[in-house]
Amino acid sequence: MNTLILNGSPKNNQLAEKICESLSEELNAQNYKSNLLNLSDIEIAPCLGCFGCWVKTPGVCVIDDAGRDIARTYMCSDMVIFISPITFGGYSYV
Amino acid sequence: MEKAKKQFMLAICQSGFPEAHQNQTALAICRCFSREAGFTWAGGLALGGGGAINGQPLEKLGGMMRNVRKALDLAAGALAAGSPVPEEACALIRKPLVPGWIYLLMGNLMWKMQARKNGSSKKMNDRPYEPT
Repeated sequence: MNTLILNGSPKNNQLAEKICESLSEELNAQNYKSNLLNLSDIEIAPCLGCFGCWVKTPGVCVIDDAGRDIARTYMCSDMVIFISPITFGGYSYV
Repeated sequence: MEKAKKQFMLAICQSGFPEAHQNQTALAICRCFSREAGFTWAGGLALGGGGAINGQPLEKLGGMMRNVRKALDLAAGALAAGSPVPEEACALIRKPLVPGWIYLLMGNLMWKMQARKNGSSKKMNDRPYEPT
């Protein structure tokens, strides 16, 4: 089973790092293939709200950056785990 | 020590969804921020069907915007008087600008026209990242 862990915590967040480490270890012990992405280390352009992904290149962001690779990895995963701090009741913007 | 001045916070959220309630999560986050930052929550106004405004002045859009204009006037009056936004304003702005089925019909037509213009109308149901 392919598992994707998306860590949306800020850099050097020790709690999130520990959670990701424990999760990866546990998944590997269960013979799951885990893929951890620390989103704060990856350059992803913010959404322009241009709707190009609807009417120009349906399903694909018009900005060609790592966001496309992450979307592909997401769709090819059997399980996705989000790690996110909660700020004012909202989850991480990354 | 001088008492800190009471500061109000009002949030106005709009989205392209026809239903105003789709903005409730955003308003709840604003309300949470307001509490944590020490503001006095003056209320939240939620507007659906924002695509019908499309950046145009509210006056120019005529009767379709009468409830929105009235709600904003009520909210502004209340804030000027140092009061929170009345429920009447929240209820008025929540009302659909046009019936939902008309909004969806026009919206879908517009998206299809734009896709045709970009030569992608046959790809609109594509799922490019889905494993084959």
